Amino acid sequence: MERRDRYSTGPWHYLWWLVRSQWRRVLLGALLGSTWMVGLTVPPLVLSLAIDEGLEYGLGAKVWGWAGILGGVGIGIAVLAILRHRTMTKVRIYAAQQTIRAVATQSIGLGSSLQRQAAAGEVAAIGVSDAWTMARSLTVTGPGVGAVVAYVVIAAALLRISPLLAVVILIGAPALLLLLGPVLNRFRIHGTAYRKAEGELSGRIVDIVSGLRVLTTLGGKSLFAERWEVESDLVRRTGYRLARTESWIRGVAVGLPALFLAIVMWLTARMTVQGDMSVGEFVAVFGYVAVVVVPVSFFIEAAIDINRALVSAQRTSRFLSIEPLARGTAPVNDATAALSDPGSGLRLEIGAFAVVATDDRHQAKAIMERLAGIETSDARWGDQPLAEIDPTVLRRAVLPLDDGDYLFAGPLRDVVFTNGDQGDAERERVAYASGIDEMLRGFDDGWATPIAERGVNLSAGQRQRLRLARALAAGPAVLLALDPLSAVDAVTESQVVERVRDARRGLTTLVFSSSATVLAAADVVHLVEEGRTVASGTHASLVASNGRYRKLVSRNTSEEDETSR
Amino acid sequence: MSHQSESGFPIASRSELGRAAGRLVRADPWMFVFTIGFGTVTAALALAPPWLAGVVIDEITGGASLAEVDRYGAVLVLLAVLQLLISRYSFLVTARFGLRLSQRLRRSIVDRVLNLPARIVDKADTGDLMVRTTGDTRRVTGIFSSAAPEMLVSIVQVVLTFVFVAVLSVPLAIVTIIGMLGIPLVTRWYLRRAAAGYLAEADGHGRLAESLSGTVNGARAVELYGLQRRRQDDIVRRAATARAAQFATLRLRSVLFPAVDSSYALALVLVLLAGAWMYQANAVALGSLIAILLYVRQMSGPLDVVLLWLESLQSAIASFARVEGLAGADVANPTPSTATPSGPRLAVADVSFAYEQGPTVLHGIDLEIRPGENLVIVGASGAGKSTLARLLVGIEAPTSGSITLGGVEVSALPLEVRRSHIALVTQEQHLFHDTIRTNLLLARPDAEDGELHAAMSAVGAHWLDGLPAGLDTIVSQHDSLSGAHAQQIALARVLLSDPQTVVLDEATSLLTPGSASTVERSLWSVLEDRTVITIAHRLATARVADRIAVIDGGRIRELGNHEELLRRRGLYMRLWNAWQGGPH
Repeated sequence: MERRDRYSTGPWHYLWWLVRSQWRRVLLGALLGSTWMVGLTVPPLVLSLAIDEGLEYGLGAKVWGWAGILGGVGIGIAVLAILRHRTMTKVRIYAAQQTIRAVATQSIGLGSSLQRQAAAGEVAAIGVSDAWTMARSLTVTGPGVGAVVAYVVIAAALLRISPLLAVVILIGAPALLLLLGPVLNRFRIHGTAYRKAEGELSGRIVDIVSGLRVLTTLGGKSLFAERWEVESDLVRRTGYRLARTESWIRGVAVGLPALFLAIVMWLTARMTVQGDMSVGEFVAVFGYVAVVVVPVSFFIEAAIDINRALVSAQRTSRFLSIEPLARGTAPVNDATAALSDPGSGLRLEIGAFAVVATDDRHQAKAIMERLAGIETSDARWGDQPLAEIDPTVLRRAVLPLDDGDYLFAGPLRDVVFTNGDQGDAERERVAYASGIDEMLRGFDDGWATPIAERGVNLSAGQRQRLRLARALAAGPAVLLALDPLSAVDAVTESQVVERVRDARRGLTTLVFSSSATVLAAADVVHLVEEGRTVASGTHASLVASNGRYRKLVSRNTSEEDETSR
Repeated sequence: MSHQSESGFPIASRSELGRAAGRLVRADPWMFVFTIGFGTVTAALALAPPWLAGVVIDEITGGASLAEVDRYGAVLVLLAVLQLLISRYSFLVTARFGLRLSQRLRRSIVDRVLNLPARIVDKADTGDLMVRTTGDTRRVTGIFSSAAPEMLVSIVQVVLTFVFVAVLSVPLAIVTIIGMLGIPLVTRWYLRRAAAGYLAEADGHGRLAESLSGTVNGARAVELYGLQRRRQDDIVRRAATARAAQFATLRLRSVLFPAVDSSYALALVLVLLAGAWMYQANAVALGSLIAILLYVRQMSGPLDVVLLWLESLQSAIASFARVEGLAGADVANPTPSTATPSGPRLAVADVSFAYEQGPTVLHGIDLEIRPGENLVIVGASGAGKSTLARLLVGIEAPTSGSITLGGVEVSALPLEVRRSHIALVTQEQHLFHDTIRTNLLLARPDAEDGELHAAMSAVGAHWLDGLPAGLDTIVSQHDSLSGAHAQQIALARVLLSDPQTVVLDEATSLLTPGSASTVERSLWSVLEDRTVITIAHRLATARVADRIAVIDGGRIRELGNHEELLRRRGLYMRLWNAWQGGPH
């Protein structure tokens, strides 16, 4: 598969893919970067010529001429510099967004299996930091290439003046950079430790802020202040270690070119005294070598950036190479047949409003996931295994509803109507059936009210009804709902249950609940204990005939009933 | 930014910021002196080579010997080695100074956050608080530990360069300044626009990351509701917006950078022309002129560093203002009462309450809560039950009327005093990312393990015994433990803190109905002689309560025990019937 080749072969390949995807722009960046950096060596040359040829005549035509050239070259370099910066900025922006889009596409493709196959938090972090870390490392393709070119050009220019100088420059820098290698490695390790400590500290304050209500009402502030102090000190200490390593890198970045400059000046001064070189040439050499600062610092930056980018690319390519689980391809053979889950012995007849009576959420959830075909199992629709059915088709027909279902940000209208707005009548129908009508009346902006990510600007009861509204609006043939009204008051619960029942007349609905209100509204009730269906019937008949059912339902309402029976 | 207007947290003024920065620096005076000292030496060393080049040239033109040149050469090499070592050390000192400043800043932030008054905490826009304590704080500490060292050295270097040029030739220093006059002008232009531009850029990043995070975390919902196309479109749209914001700042830089670069070139040209004229007039030596030319060229390096960081510095100052603004939040707290409650009697007298600019939620509530009773408050969603709970524990103060605890206005009690008398447990509980022990100990730091276990079993959390690590199990808001377990931990906390009055606001709503009423009742027995006020939509508990208050439309409509209220055939009976699954 082409996709596989692209991502799974490791971090280098991923970075290379980012480069290849916009190779024209990258090439332009390299060209501009090289020209610009080589251009930096021109002013020293012009200056040296001006000194050698013009200065002795004072402010004459020659100096005016050289000054004009110097100004022109300066402006030319300024233009090259900004063109390079613009190109490279675009390279970085597009590269980062390319990663973000790839991660989004992969997440969408993985769908409900993402949580099983990857840590969502880590994946989301790719979009926040990794994408940009990798993008920054692409700087190496522009000014990085330019730095190498400029370095060689400077050495070549010195060769013309003195082969000895050229050798010093050519050998010296790579040798010292090699020496710096282990330091760079330590720098990466300490850097990772520092960012980790800082990230954990950030997590700690997020935790404290989220739980601030608890701390204000119950106390424990000093406990958390102490924890914070310890962790904050750890950040400082890891920071100290990082600074120790980084300071050597910074020192070398400044000191290495200075050392070259000193050695080269010494040699040139000797040559000038011996008459092998003019004063102007001396200035030119000084100028060239002073320019070396630029490529050397680019080399160091690039080494650091790539080091970091590889870690990010590793994480990214690992996520992108996850294969979606095998999926069925068949259509639904017989939509009028009953759904069955051999795991629990549950059979769901089409067209009924059924309730599974259980106190055990985990078991209820497991049954729901099997019946919805999300968890692979031997659950069937008629004789057809759910695993054979094309998930896209199945999802439209069988929809599980659960408090964990994510609520996306957006206007209320878009949050509820996932298939697009269906007009006023449908809006009213859904609002009424799900009980969000009351909440809507409280919103000044009605259907345009903005809902925050995860619905955090709503109460738990409101979020529940909003999820219910979204599920009702989707209008699946079979709706499986896990305790969808557990967070609303009894009156509202009984109202909404009736309305849902009416709204879904002719369709199939299965609710998992132990609330008497819900059970009383059911056409058929299945009592599930320890994951197995142990009895089925109407609420009334089960109350009359089944002691354990009675116990389950009555525990719900009063203790005396439980003890009296 | 929009958060600020919504949240009500203040933003520090310039003068407050100055004082705050002064405090931070004064706390570590020697580090500050070292930082400045090393920065100055490093900068000065970088200026030595052109100076010496000028001297050498003058010596050579004056006919110096090879031995003299060698002496200068040796000095040059020595200086370069010194430069490497000292600039390394300078970076180290400055980075450490920055790290210590950051640590001190973080300490003051956490102190401020932890000392925010309850009323503000409860209403606060957590998002804004989150941004201030994470993003803003990191931006400030980032500047302290990375930009500050570089900027400091660069600024000193620019200043020293001008000083050196002026020492060599005052007229040429003036010419240099004239040549570079364009830089402050274009920088002013840039900075005026940069703040908004980079804010928009950060916002664009944030919104794109948020969309991706939603897509990743909501991947299941994307599949279930067929939202693939919509999520793709959202990402593409936000990516385009983010790009547009980035291109906007790029346009700003496209003016700034060429203008600054051209200014360097202009200054160099002007110095060359003026220098040639002065050289001819014998007003400047060749060596000095060359040194000055080299200086002018060299100045672009540190100046660029300063200019590049100016924008980050600007946004860091804005962040610093938000961080320091938290210090102003507790000023708004009304002076706490010094009176101590004379007893556990909680009395609500003619209380009405309206949220700021909102409708009146509670109307003329009168309620005498008897010490030691179990009172259940019921009513439909939105009837005002939770608001009453917040008033009872003093998070909010009534708009009119009074709520007194032993004769003292509850909302005026200092937090510590109030906490020892009344505790509130709500539906929205928080588990700290820490051990179960820490999560419990926060309510009573000196409790022993036996007491912790006892509290946990009193709230029916027998699952604790099944955990391999027991009390040392690390929990957090998002994983491992279900909402029900989190609520049990929250309830156990209350038992440990052992106040006279406990208000449970839907505190067991996430437990299965059966265990909810079991837990509530076991709480009642543990808190036997305490007052327990329970707010619930599940009526199981109401049946055995001493009294039930039925709230509707912000008023208490019915008050009495289960049998009395059923006999009234009113609201309570309707609720009870609905709850029973019977006719209504």
